[in-house]
Amino acid sequence: MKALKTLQIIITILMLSWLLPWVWKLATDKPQNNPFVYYSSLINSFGIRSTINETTLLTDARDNSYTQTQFDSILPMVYYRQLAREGQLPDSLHGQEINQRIIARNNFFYRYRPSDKNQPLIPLYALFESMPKRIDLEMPGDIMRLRKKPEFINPDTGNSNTHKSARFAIELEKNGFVGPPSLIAGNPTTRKSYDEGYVIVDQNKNLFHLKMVNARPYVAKIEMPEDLHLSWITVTEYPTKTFYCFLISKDGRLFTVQTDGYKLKEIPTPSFDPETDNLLIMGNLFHWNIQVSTNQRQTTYAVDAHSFKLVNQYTFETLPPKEWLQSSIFPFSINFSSANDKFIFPRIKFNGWTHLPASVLLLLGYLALQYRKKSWCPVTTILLLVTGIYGLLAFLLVGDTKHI
Amino acid sequence: MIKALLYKEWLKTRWFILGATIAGLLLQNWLFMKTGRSLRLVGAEHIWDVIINRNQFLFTELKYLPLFSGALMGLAQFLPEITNRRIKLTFHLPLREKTITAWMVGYGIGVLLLLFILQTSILAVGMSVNFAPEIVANGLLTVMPWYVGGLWAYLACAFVALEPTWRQRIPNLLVTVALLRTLYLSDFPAAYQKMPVYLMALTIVLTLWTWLSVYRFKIGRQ
Repeated sequence: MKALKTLQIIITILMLSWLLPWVWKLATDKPQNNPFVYYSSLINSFGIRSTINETTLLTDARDNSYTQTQFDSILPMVYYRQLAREGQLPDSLHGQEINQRIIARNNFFYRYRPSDKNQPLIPLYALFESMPKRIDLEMPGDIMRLRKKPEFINPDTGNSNTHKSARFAIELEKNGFVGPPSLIAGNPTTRKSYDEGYVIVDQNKNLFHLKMVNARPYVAKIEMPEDLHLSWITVTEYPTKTFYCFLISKDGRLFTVQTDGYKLKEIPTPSFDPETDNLLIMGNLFHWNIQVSTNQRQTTYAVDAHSFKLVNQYTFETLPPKEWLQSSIFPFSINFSSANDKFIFPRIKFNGWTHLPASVLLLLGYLALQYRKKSWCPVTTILLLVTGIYGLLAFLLVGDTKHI
Repeated sequence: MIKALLYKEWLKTRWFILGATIAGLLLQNWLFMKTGRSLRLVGAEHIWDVIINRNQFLFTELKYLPLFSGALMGLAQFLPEITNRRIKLTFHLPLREKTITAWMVGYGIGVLLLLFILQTSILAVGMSVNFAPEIVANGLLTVMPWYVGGLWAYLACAFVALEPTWRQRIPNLLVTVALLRTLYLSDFPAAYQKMPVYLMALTIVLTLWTWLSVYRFKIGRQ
């Protein structure tokens, strides 16, 4: 019975270590105002829009202040619609003709969050016809299962199309594909202007491009350095068609696979952990703003859109939330969910030793009380020292192992 | 003696068993009719797309059915026992209290397991008619915490009801409610797929805790 009572106390402590920090956070949470940072090739610096105490500040990286109109004009790639409406959009920039259509065509936003990758997936894929007879993409009428070999299943009947499956299997095998794949990326939606199918990593860590063209398989092997281990792929399907996809390696390097000859190009990227950090790329005709947000900082690289050379960088140090009080009360906390994935499981976070003074005080209080009652429980004493306030509350709620 | 004990449990719970079985069948029948209608109206391909790429689960209405089934089973079995402390009479039978509780709780768990296995089997078979095995597996992983929730709700009822004092009943209730809450933290399909060990371990712990309450009853905690 003592063991069961101990288990009851421990589980009560664990539940408290989940609920109390959650309530604390609910009561004290503040928004994190990371600034909007975008490179301006007109001033060769970053335009920064930040919010401090509900006031919006428009500055650059050299601490010059701007009015909204001035800010619009230094960032024509962002505010081009506003500038065009006011007749202020220049006809050309850096010798390149620009207008609303050209800017919109070349602008892109790419966002990567660790939870894009860390979530339960159903391994079935719609492979679209990349050269549809009509202008719009249509659902293909079957779903691809890709294990050792591809299999196309009709959702209405559940039967597989053996002829189509065999054709794709032969083509994949001919190109050296060894299934089952370890990573498959694509955009299975008809709401895009064109389709580039899927980019796949096979069992041997080789990279392939698979699509369906005129109802036939199209497979291309993409040459990749041997030491490159991919963590995530995003097929982009942007209007400019200059590259097929972004590749993110496990060590946080970023590549594009170019449409001319499947060449890989490495993009300079701030230090980046794909398991915990967010990546945002805001690209335009002239520069790409590559931004990595970690818990500590937000770093933005401005990279030339043609040579992919680093032009400038800006780092915003995120003010660490004041957690001193919390960590001196709560020795640890349990979370069942995380912003970095979509799975539910318990994850424990230790808050260091700052809780010790409070825990020792609670322990002394407990000992004094129990000394008068001449009842002292060693298990509770240890739990109080290690788990502080949780231990005390668990003791008050469910008692100790001496008094079952 | 055990036969008589089980007969008593049957008498207490037969209406619940009938009601829960019918309610489950009706709900599942309605859900399959709803799915069938969607398949007819928009086509299987679209429904597959919604499930695979937009993370929709078609049977979310099942979410609280096991929870209520478990809780009602627990109440049907243990509420009569604690009314006027009738459990005292049960514990006067010439059997060890532990044995009596084990048979009582075993009966409840057995009934619920049969009910839940029936429901999940219908779900699995019904889903396999229209969907690929990958989608069925994802669906079963999605309902897994809900059915574990049914067992936990039952065990929580037993643990709380058998506890002799209100002073301890309330903390027991709070802890078990918190534990149950951990099973309903996400609606994302198959979000609990990393949890089977946690779910299994806590099911065993909750089962054993009923002995804790019985022990306190036995030593006369008032």
